[in-house]
Amino acid sequence: MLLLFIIVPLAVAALMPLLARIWKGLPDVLGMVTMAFTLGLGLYHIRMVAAGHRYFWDTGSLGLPLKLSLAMDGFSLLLLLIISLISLFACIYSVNYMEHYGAKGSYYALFMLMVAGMNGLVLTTDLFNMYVFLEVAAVASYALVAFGQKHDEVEAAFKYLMLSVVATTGILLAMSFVYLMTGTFGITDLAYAVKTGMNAQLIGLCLALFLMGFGLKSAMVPFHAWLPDAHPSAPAPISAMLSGVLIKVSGIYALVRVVYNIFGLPPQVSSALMVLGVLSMVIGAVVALGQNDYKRMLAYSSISQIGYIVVGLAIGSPLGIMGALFHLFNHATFKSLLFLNAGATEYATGTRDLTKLGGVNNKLPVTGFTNTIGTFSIAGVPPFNGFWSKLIIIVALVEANYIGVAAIAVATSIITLWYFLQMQRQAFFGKLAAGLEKVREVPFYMALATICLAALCLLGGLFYPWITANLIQPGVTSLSNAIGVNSFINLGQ
Amino acid sequence: MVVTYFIFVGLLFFIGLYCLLTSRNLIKLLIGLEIMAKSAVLSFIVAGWARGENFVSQSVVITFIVIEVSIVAVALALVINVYKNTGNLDIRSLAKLKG
Amino acid sequence: MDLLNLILLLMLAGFALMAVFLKDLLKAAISLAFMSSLLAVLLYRLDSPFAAVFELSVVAGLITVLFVSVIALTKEEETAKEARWPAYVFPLALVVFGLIDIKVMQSLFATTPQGFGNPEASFGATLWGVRSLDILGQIAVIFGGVFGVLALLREKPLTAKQKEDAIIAKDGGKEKLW
Repeated sequence: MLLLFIIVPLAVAALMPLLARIWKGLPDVLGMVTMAFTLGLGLYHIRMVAAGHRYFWDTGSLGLPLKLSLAMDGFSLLLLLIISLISLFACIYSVNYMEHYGAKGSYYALFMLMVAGMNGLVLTTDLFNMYVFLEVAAVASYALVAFGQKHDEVEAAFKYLMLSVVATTGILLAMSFVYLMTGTFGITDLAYAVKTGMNAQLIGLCLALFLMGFGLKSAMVPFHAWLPDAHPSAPAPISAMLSGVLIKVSGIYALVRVVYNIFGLPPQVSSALMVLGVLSMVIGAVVALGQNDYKRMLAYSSISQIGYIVVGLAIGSPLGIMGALFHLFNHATFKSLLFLNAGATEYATGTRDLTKLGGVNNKLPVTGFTNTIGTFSIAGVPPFNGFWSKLIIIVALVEANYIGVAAIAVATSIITLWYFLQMQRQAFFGKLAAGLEKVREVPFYMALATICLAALCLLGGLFYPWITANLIQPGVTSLSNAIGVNSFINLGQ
Repeated sequence: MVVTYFIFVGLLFFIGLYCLLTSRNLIKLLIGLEIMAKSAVLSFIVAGWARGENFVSQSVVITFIVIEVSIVAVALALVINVYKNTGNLDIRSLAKLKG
Repeated sequence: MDLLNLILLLMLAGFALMAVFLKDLLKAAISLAFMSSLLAVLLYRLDSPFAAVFELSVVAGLITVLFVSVIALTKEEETAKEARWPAYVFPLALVVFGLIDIKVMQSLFATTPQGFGNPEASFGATLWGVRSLDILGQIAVIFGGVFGVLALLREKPLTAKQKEDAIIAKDGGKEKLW
């Protein structure tokens, strides 16, 4: 029942404002239960998509007049698990954190809608439908970014909305061109129809529009202007969701589906992605170095890490894809952990300005400890999970003869370690800064969420063979097959 | 000729984008956005019409129009919030955050 | 090429320009509404009556109402002066883009394939039977819009200081409310 992934969060979202009136605690409980349910459902499907099979689900067999066809392969399942996992912890965290924002009913309703949209985007088999669910998630996220209604938040949300709509209009135009030439929106049909029905220039134009659109959604470097505003301004659990999940689902996932499954990764796109990836990796890291705002630094670091993922995908070899997908999973865990920690620090001390923070490690033992784990993970220190995925990407780069890019990736990793250690030193270690004497540790649920995510970072590093074999490998197989099947598109020289 | 329609699709997209890039008033920005949306609507309908298969293209456009309304509603709510916070609708008062 | 359709397209572009360059926001919004209505006529002439109805009622009607009410709410005349240069640069930009546009579109869409006609019996069957997931998405996106607007237009949460002030004011501080 793949439809449950979409219907359940949607139904909960629709009922949330009513249910919130019955009992004040109900939205919290419902949010957690819903996310735990989708997580369980995702885990239940692991065996079905093993070894890269696609699992179809269609109402056609039920004899209904509606045609709801969904499909799941290893890649979709990986994204579904990431979505449910991170949203579950974000929900747990929100119990305390969103208290002072008010209107929890609306908050959870929008949160659930965002999740429903992302789940739909991941499961659908239709190109236009992908756009529809992308907008569902996007509309909810605009409102969530501006949820606090303060100047920064509203401004960031407005910019985010404007740039997103430009991106999606470009995507829509490309879709209409594709439809004109092929007469279908189904992704598998398109893969065949595109080869026979479209000339090379039109394919080039459509690919450029898709790259621009999804590149903006995933904040690759020339299109990244909205992210360092939008992600820090949002409430912390939403920052974690946006940076950890949304840019990957509506950016990377959609891009990969289009570029791999429809167009079969033409070499020109591969090199374009490589350039975008390297740019994002380097520029994101270098700009992150100079940031004083903790969350802003994390936002730039997201751009940099997205660069790693894109580089891995651009190689197109099974090892590169594996590194990219594993890094996708890992980045979701440690970046949401770090954003939640940034929120916890702000919650406890009232500021996220690194120059005003200092020595809060003793005052905030849990936050400090989990933050250290997050730092080590993102910087790629063994045995945490970030190390393995970066290692795989770098090995894949060397294997594909991109020695220069591999060197850049290593250097970026060192810069990452540097700015994160600098942050640790400024904020958590050293002498206690003035005015922070009365700081107390954050409430229970916030601490619980960060501890769980930190444990996930550590376990992901220790049991990486199990994760790569059971969660990543099916996705790698299905994407490699997609390239193999579709790769004979010739864009001209 | 189908080409003429697509030339106008491109033109409308350009006019909308130009408005988006140069205007200072937030509502003007939304108007630019609407013009771009219209180019997408026209593009889909012309595609369906040129193929002689107009059902799917119309369903798609109807879905898109619903989405457009939701986006515009949220965007206008944001504009009202900006107005409450700053007292005007000038994009230059939205310069606290820098890319 | 139908001459009337060409005229409609030209008027569409003309109203778009008016919507962009008119100083008065209300007039700009109304130009946009006219543009939508003309687009609706054009869609009708391109064998798409259902989409035309939506364009006319929802975009020309509802969105214009939304725009006008926000313009009225924000009383915008005195602030946010537009810069002059965009209007002067525009013709040049338009010519450059137009030439590229014509060239590119002619090379891309010189021949377009003909489909095999609609496989389904009716428009309703297509909308509900083939694009069912889009309908689900529409429901979700409408919820998103509604909850988004509700959340954004709710009473602003008070900051700690404002709360203190309110309590002082209420508990007979220096200023009494009544």
